Amino acid sequence: MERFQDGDSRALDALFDRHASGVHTFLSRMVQDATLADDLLQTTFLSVVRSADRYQRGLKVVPWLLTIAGNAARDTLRRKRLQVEVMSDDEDGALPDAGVEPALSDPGQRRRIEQAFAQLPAQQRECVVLHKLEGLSFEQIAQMLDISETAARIRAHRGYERLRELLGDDAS
Amino acid sequence: MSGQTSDLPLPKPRPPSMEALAKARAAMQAEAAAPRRASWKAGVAKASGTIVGLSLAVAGVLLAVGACTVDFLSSRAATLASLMTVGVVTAWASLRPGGRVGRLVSLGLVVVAAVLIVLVRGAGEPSTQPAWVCTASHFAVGLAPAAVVIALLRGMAPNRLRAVVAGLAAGTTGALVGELACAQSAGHVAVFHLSAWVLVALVVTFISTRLTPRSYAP
Repeated sequence: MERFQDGDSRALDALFDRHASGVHTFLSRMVQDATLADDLLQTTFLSVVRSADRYQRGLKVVPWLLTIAGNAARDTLRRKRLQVEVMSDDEDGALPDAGVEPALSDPGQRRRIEQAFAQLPAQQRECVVLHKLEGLSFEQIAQMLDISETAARIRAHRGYERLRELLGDDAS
Repeated sequence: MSGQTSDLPLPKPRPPSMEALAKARAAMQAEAAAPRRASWKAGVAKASGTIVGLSLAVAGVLLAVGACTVDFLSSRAATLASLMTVGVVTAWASLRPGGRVGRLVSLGLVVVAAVLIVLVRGAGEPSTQPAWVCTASHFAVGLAPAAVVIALLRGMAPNRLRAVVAGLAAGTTGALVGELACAQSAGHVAVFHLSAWVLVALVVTFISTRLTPRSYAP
């Protein structure tokens, strides 16, 4: 990122090659929609170019990219009023196209987890993804989301509690 | 990234298609080839310049038409300097990358400045103008810097606290005009001046959080 700030345009391609797939995975989990994640991937890297001067040298690139991706996902969800839809039985438990690979083992359990995860409010889901799946600390999450560390902990904690409620003891 | 090292057994989402990757890369490269936009520091300079410049222009006009005197301005020097400082600091705090603590501190500065302009006013002098003229004129003067900060806020991720602070920065212009052109009482300042300040902040927050941003960078 610093090389791009210094005017090296090839650095941008390297950044894209290295991180596009990971950003897309994060976005897919955030919005639960593979097509929307494709669009948001483009939005994320457009933001990187447009706001290169806002990157503060010395910061880790991955949390910065995920912050941008998370901001784009949250804003898009808000605008589209795509608050997580609760799966209803009359849909026969069918999932929307979340762009998720077929389960490797125990498909029923995987599906239950997916459905429970999709039912989390977007803010809680984001904190769970960032903490549990991306391995970021609450301090990093708080900086990314522009909230206090306590608020990040509470969001994640509520997300885990909700998952436990939905899955019984399976998620613990 | 997305190392899936946790005990939350979520399936890994399908990777992006080659087509989606190519489209995103092409858009990114086209954007990179376009002329660079002004930096956030230039944005701070623009917003601060509008706030201070507009206030100085109003002061110049008031002096030119004889609506106030140099002695009157000198007597208000402390509050004028405080408000200008608050305007510049809040503009910087609202537009800089990251910096949540800075924005909270700048909110505190605004409160201190608001209390200051009320407390130092005292009994004041009666006016022939209706009291609401101050609110309307301060609000109107604040619209120009409000438009500037709204445009600048589109260059970063939507954030309510950031928008409130930017709105308060724009609103300092009206508060400055109040110090230049109004000699009424502390109660008048508390009600009719501060309400215009808050109103500008609300307008900036309302509009900026509804516009589609050009960038989602923090």
